Amino acid sequence: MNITAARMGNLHVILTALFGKIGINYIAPPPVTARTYEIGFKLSPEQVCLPFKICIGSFVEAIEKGADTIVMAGGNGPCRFGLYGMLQEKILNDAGYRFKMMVLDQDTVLKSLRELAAVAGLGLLQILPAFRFAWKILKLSEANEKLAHYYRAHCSDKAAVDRIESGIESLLLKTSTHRQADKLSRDLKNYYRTELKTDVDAREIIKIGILGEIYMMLDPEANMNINRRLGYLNVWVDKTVYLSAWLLKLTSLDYFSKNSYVNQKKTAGNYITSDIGGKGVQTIASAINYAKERFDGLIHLTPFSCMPELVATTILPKVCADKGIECLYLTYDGHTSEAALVTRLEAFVDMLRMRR
Amino acid sequence: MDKKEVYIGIDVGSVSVNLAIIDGRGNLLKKRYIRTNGAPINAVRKALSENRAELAGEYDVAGAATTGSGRHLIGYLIGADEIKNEITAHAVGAMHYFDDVSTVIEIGGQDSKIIIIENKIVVDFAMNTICAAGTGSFLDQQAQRLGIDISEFGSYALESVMPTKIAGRCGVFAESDMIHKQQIGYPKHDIIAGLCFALVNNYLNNVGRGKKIDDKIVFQGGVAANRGIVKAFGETLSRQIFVAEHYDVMGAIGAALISLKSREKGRYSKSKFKGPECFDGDITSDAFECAGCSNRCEIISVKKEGTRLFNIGGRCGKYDYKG
Repeated sequence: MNITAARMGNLHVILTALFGKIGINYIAPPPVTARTYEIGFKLSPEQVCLPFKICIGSFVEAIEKGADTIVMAGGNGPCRFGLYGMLQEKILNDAGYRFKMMVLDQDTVLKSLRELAAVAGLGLLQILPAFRFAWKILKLSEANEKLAHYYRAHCSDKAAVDRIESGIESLLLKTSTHRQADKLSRDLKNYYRTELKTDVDAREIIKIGILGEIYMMLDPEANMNINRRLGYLNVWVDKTVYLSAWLLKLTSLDYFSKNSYVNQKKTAGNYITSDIGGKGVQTIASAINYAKERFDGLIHLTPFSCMPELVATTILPKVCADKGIECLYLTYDGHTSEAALVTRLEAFVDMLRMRR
Repeated sequence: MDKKEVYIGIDVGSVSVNLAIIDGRGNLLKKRYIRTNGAPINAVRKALSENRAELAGEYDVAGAATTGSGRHLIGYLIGADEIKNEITAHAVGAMHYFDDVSTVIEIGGQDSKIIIIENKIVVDFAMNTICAAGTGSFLDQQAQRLGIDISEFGSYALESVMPTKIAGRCGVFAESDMIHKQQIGYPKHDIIAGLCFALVNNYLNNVGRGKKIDDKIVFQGGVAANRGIVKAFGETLSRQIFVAEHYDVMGAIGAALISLKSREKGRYSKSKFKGPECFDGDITSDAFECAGCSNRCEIISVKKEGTRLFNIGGRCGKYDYKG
């Protein structure tokens, strides 16, 4: 079995660790490029959102690399995303691609995991340690990203930050034991601290919270490297959602955390009372929380035709006016012109600096 | 003779390249508006070389800045001290001439923007996203189709007493509406005036949606030359519209002011500006395809007399401005 899953931010790093430990051959889809878009746009329905299209393109590229099984999250809850796996299977079959689609949802997750374990000749309980290891790698990868966000804003040698971040990323891909992971975890901060000087004037640094649809937030290729571009402008970026938080939410394991869905619903309660799917409620709640934490501004990312975020876009201006925080709205639909994005980001950051 | 300290601002737009030279107190000394004609480097070369005598003689360039969509390319070429986005540049320009400005309407060749200012601080802005109807290029095209010169467009519109209704939702709809009206015999000036109203509505619905448009309203950018559009804005908003005296080069003036302010703040002391000489000789650019990944980005390589100055382009930043 050659297994693959859609490209989404650092997901491939975690899956490399997970399937490596279980002993299943994992084929990482190549980074999302113009070719991925081209395939995705050709095969997908026109009105569907950008993440769907990117996934299709990414699946095709993985199949070309030899993948024969695709794992995709699904189930009721988020938005039409819950049905994407089945639809994508049909589309790709019609286009002549042969593979097995495994949609992981609330009902099938145990069955699918048992199946995966059986491929490696193991029982369900025997693959649990692999999840623990993958979780460790995931947390490391996110810690790396957060450190990069911090240093990119505070340090004038932006190229060095990029270099260190991707260096650690490739180290993570090669990490296969707990001992290696623990060592990396201890050294992580030092990689940055020893090489970089935080020489940017603290008054120059702007704090921006990024919120909106999860795929756009997690995948740097899809959002045109917005985190990096903001870092180059001395912006300290925080994202509302990281993969680990999303997985916890998906499995309802975050019930007692302060960011649990129940708590977010309470926070957003004055503005939105019904569950609109996707990240709609979370978007409103995080805008309120960022304002409370005195962030300078917000950037909201929406893939074109995303219903939950469209609803959030109509509520956010009221939230921002009430809480006294500014928001820049960006809609993505596969266009590749960076000039327009850069101009908006620069103007927004200039504006936030002037307002201080 | 003492040399005069000057600051240069260049707005490298899609349709025109604008140059402004100001003195240390912010007074405009020279301005120049040149059509880009698809070759920004040539346009900037022309604008600078026309002022070569002054730049070599009585002027001492203390700072230079670029803005507009070609700001990075030209900025690196001339050695700009500041490279600023056009929203900030236009806001700074407007505030310099109108102390109490609260709304800036800027319509240029390819894009239009609205900037909201409170207490001399930009508090909100928007740019056109999906539709370029109502920008300079669209008006140019329509003028051409009607067989009139773009500079007469405004006076035609003012002649109309009964502007005809034209759909302004999108450029394609507007055009087919215009053709329909022309075929059933409407006079030219009523169609043109109708188009002005349609485009103003398009702007207010798209760019100005949800924005607090308040006095004083300043209109700038190339399209501000069109008196028909100015009148349509005034009537639609029922407010007085102020057209800046140097409406056509406000972005360039803003850029020059930004370089002046940033020097005053001590962000740099000696200008990196290379002078018109940096355009001496043959500047060429050619493109190649990067084979680093399947994005296959086109990279532009800017060369002077055959030697590479820098590369530009690509999604990942691998080539940006490196030799």
